[in-house]
Amino acid sequence: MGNLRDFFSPVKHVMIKEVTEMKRMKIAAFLIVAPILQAIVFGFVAVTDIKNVPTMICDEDNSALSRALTDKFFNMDHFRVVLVTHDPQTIEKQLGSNRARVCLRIPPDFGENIRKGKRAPVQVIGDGTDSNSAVQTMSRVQLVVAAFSGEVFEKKLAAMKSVVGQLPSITMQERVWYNPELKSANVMVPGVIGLILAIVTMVIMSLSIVREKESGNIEQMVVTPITPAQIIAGKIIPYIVIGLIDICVVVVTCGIIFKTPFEGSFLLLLTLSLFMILVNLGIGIYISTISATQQQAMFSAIFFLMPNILLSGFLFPIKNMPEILQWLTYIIPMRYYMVIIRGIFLKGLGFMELLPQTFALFVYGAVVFAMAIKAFRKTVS
Amino acid sequence: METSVKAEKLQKRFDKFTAVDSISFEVEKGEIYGFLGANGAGKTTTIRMLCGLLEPTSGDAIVAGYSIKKQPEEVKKRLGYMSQKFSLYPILTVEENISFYGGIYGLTDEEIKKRLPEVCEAVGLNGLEKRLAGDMPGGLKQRIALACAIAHGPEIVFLDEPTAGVDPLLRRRFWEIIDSLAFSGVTVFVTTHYMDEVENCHRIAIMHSGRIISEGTIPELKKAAFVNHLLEVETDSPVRAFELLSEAKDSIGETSVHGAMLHVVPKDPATAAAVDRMLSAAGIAHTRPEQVEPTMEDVFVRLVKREEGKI
Repeated sequence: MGNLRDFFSPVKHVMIKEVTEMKRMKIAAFLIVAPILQAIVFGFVAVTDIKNVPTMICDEDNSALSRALTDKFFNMDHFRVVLVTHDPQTIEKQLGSNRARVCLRIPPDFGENIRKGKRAPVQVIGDGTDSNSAVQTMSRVQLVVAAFSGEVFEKKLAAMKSVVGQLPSITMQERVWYNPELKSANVMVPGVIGLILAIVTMVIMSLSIVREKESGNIEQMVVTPITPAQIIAGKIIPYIVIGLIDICVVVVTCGIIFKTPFEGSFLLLLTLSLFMILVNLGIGIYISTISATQQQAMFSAIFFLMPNILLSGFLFPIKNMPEILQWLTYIIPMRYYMVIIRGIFLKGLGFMELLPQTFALFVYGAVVFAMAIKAFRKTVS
Repeated sequence: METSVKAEKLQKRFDKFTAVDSISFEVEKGEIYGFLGANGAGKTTTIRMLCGLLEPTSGDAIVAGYSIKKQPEEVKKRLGYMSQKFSLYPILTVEENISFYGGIYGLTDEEIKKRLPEVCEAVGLNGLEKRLAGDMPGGLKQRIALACAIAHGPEIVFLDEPTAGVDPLLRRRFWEIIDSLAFSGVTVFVTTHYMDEVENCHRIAIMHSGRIISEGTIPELKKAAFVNHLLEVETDSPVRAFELLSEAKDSIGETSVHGAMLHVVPKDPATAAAVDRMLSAAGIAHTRPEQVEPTMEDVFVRLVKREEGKI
């Protein structure tokens, strides 16, 4: 008990110093407010759903059937019909000037072909300069056309039924689990929380020791009996608390603004986030210890954040990456946290299902802290 | 008298370079002990070893009763250290800085509460406790740094170049504080390269190339450097006079220029008359050669030159 007190008494004074400095520098408020703003902005920006795509329809047929198909594109979330024309010459002008991003072209004999029971092709033209949304939009158009085709087919069938009798048919019932509306915000918002957590904790921490190295305070500290572990403990505890507060406020903010579903246990999220916070702080401390100047530390931290954004599965699915990069993702701590936070938010996963990821973060944290303390001892002597 | 620091054949080598070359010395409790030397003479390395920051390559030192080799942690608890940077936290108040350093030395909250007014009193910071350290002028920063170094009531205080960038009046006041600290029984160990500053020390060790080339009180050092008193002559044309006297080095002794003054280290009591004669013969206007007390600078320069074999 006496030993524990001996260990924590100096730690407490390092903490008091850190918190007082934070208060005086007005960082504390910044550390809470900035993440909320970031979450809101990122949450809106990081959404990849395609909505209100400016659409033009070039109806060269102008029959009852072609008008019926055209009508399908009105009153839909995905499309905003900006122009219905009969003149194919205007297509290039509209797409080229970005007034429309997609065009459905109905050829002159469309209605005639259907009536005769022949194949009736229609053309969809997308703007490939934004390949991702072009693909999504065009497949949406295809869905609409397919549904229309089905209706036409059923009408014909109904007319024939009296002759042939009952016909069998197979229909598919689609169900999407965990994110039934396929809203990308539901996937992105939890990811944004992980990202903000990394920015706040890692960057701030990466400055903390190098700042005192520059001012000579570290030298002053190492002549005292305080150990590197005590200094580090005193420095990280305030930031652990801030990290946890950040998670709470950001989760609540996102819930209110984006109506992100939260299926799992909040307590579990906080507990497992603790591991991620420790990993971030450990990396920050390591960077801070080996850096000579604050600029160098800041640059290193940003350099380390980049792969956490690009290779963690936050933006790009890991399964789509080249195999060698897929292996590389295993050394990106954020990769594990993305599974944890999305799992808890959307799937309501429990601790047992997330054990592998938690264990990975635990090992990561242990290694990083061991490295940080070792590097710290080396700088001192 | 009680011994506070006892170094025995302390040596530190970095690869092939010997920074500190088997030095031995003793410092008594309550003494102000100065380390004088040029930059790179080995002062800081010695201090770092005595503070338990650097392990000696060979030899050992007993500081406050503990071996720096075997019990550096015990040593650390019993000493205070003030670096030349005055490592304070500018956005913490005076009081918060002192509490912080007391706290990381392991003082309890009650001990800190009791110690704060004592320390502020000792270094003359009363009434400034709530002010931000960063708002203070250099001289006060120096005192706050000292307060931080003695917050935990150490037996020995190491001051590394303590008066860099502090104005002369406050420097005077600082040495008064150091004096009273030593009087209360704290051993003070100072490194400096300011010659005027070492006059405040009870005893001085002059370091050169990793070795202590001379040690003692100021009169003892002066005696070691100069057998006879220095001769001082003022003249209108010091350069010509210097050239003239330098040629006669073998008969009258070493000459050096200090502005319009010439200092001659006399060979024998007849030198004064000889110098007077030579200058008159050359028609150089001058005052009568007079015996003067050598300054610490004279002492330092002469001892280092002698060490280097130039004299």
